[in-house]
Amino acid sequence: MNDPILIDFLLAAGLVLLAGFSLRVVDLFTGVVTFIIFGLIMSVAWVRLQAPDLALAEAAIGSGITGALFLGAIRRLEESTPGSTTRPEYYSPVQRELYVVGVAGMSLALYLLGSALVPPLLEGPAGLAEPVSEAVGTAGARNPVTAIILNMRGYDTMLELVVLLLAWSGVCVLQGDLGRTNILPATGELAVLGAFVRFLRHPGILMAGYLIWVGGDEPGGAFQAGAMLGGVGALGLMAGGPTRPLYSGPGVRPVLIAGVAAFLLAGLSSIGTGGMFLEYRGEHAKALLLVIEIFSTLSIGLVLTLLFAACTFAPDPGRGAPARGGHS
Amino acid sequence: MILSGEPFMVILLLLPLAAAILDLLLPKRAATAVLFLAALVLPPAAAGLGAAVLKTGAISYQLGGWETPLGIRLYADGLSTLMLLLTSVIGSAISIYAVSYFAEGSNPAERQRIDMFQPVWLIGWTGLNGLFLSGDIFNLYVCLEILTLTSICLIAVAGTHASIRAALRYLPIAIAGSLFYLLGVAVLYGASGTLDLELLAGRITHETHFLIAFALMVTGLLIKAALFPAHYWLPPAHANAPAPVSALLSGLVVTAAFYILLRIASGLFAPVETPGWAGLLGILGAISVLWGGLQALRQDRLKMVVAYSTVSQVGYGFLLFPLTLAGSAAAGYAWNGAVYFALAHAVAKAAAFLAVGALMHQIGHDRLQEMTGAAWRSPFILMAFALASLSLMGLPPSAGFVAKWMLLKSALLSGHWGYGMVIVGGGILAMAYLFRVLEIAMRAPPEGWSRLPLPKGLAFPAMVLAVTAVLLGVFSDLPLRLLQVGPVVADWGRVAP
Amino acid sequence: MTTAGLYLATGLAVFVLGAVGLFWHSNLIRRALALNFMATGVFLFLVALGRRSTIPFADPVPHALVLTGIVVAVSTTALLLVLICRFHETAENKSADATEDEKGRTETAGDRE
Repeated sequence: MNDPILIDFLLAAGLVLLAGFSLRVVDLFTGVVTFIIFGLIMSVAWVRLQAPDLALAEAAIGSGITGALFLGAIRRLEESTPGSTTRPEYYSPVQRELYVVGVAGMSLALYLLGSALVPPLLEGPAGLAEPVSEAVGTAGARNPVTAIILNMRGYDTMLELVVLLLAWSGVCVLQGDLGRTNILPATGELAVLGAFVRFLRHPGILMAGYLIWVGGDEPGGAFQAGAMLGGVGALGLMAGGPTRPLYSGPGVRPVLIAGVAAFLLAGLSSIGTGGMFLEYRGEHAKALLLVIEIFSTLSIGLVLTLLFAACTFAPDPGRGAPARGGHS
Repeated sequence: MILSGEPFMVILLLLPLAAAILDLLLPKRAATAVLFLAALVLPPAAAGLGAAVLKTGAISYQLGGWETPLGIRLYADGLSTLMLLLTSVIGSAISIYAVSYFAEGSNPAERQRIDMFQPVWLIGWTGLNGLFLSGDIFNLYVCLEILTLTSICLIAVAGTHASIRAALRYLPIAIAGSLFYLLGVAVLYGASGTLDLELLAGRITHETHFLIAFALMVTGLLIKAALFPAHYWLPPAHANAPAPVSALLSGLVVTAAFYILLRIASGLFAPVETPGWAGLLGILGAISVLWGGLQALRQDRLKMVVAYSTVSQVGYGFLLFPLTLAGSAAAGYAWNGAVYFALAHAVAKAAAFLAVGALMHQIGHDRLQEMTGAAWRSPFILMAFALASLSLMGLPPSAGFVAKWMLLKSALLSGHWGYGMVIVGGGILAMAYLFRVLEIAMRAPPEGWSRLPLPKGLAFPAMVLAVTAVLLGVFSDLPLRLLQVGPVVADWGRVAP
Repeated sequence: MTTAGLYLATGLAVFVLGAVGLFWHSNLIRRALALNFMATGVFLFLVALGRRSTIPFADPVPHALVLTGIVVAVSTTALLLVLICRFHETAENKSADATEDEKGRTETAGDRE
């Protein structure tokens, strides 16, 4: 079990080669597509490392949503500055001269780093697998990853939802309230996509619900489910139309903060009943975790959708956009 | 009833977060009331925690009731409490200042952008308090990322192309810094099986992989703290942000990165620190001090002068590393001096940026050559700037003087004459670039000058911070006593070879 | 060689590739890609640690940390991409814009001297 089999070597080689190619290729579109393929191969690697939760998250967020963000941004850049994503990059004469030296230096650094880190770490002490599996019974979720994410290290997860909220805030600062972004009307092939999305929407939401529910015991949970919603939302935006009411409606902010607020309220209620912040155990823990997960999923789904929109659609000039130029 | 510190820790952590959420939901006026409420409650809460820490020693709080290593621990000792107090004082001043600063702006697009300041700043406040309270190296990573994104959002609030450009120069390198730090965290977890600062402290030895973890984490943090040669992102970012944001970035965000460095260098990595390492950090610090000072002298915009001054002042803190290895008496002075320097710089620099912002509000620009006579036209604000300068130059009786004095004493006691000269030289450079500003301001004003109307909401917070910077020099006993609570540096100096 | 060792080394390789790419390239989108590779490298390294031979089954703590890391990474990437787009869109004239990356780079280099 512990010896690598052929597929491991193939995966490892594939990952390194794809990463190198993605960064070297002139055309950025090709680079991004390579990045997405890299992500899909990563998913397989996660499975090989017995991390099915991550395989789901990588496919959905690491490769899926992130890839979509890149593709959206490239399209938008190409619109504002034609040719900017296909032009060969500028390298200084020094860089051209030192290319071989650079590659050699990188390989040497990698060799030194690897030989200094890998052997001692392979002998390193056991992680927290055993204490976690002993404690997981009282944590309200049988899937240890979910138990850690929502309970043992729930505080980290709350702050992580804050990070998502910040990304949205940054977008608001940079290009105004997303509610005012131009959304393309569905025409031509996009209309077909619209029909496809309408077809997918309900199963997508159902699937998200299933991922939350099953996440307590098996791989899945709020992040994967949120990514699912984000994916449906992103497709909907590309197709125009169907998700518009949610997108610009007054309900946006309450949904965005729902996840953080759920954590905060659950934490405060546990203080109220004499525990520590975010302390919940035993019988009602499962129900509480489920509530937190549902709200977090909604927040994550909405933020990811809005982030996709932010990368893809330039704001309506003159509305919601910062002033042009100006060097004060 | 014994005063317990835990409730204060929870308040410091959750109040700004709850306020941020409310701020996003409530209409403008109510949102501002929430901000004021936070600014009113957080300083007493930090003071309460300080009193508790002085009385009972360092405090731990197990989040979720999970014992480490399973759960995340909040931790407050003297150092973190001082940082929390610093954050609450500067934070309150910035909050009040920002409400006046951002009061104008009728264009709806501009309004929309500016209205995001309050919730984002409150989230940033959460990140700062969370960082200073954190006892977990992964949680510190999340807090660092909150601060990175907060900085970007707030720089962009300026809404200019220059601010976007500055943010874009900062963000990639900042993310890379976080990832270097995170790789260090991964190595530590693999080598010790825990993420908790206290548990880690006993498990780190002098082996090579710990040294590499240290190097990775330090690299990441040096970028965030803007030490030479990773300083280049700082001046444009801090100079192109709106004034309250500059104060926040130069006063608190840079200090937060330095704080993590202090935490891990003193608490965790003492076994791997060799004179070579410490010397490298010390030399980079010395170059920062001199380079930042020289650059500040060459700038023709006031905000750039103050921003380059940050590069220079950040360097002083790093002199701590060679000086602590020099023996326990010198180590004690170096530790106290470096931390006090961070405090003094944060308060004085925030005051300076707020004063510059107020001045720009009055005269509409920050071009140095056109500021002749500013001291006569706007005496109150220039007074605040001069008081802040006093501390930045390290003249008595300011906090900057006390800090530099301790650092200098440490350098001389341990025979590090070179570093002593850097400390003095940096002070002379600071005098040069700050007196240059004050001299221009003191020149005879142009014909037909008149007093400019005083923007009170801007001038008073700046003045309060400037006076605080001086008072911290006069009353330095209590903060220095608080600093002794917790793992004291004497041990750090002794453990290292 | 064990499976964990192979993936630890792969994680480091991807991290180093990303880090070098970040400093080598001046194109902003490519640098954003490089950052994502750096992040993935760290994640792979972290999870491989949970699969070492001293442990009977996979350690779930790195999985949870990486899940957090993935969400942080997508947030920062989105913000970075929007910044890049706004940077180009708010530039005063488009012809100067074409060399903006290079200009930014020379300025940075000049600053470092």
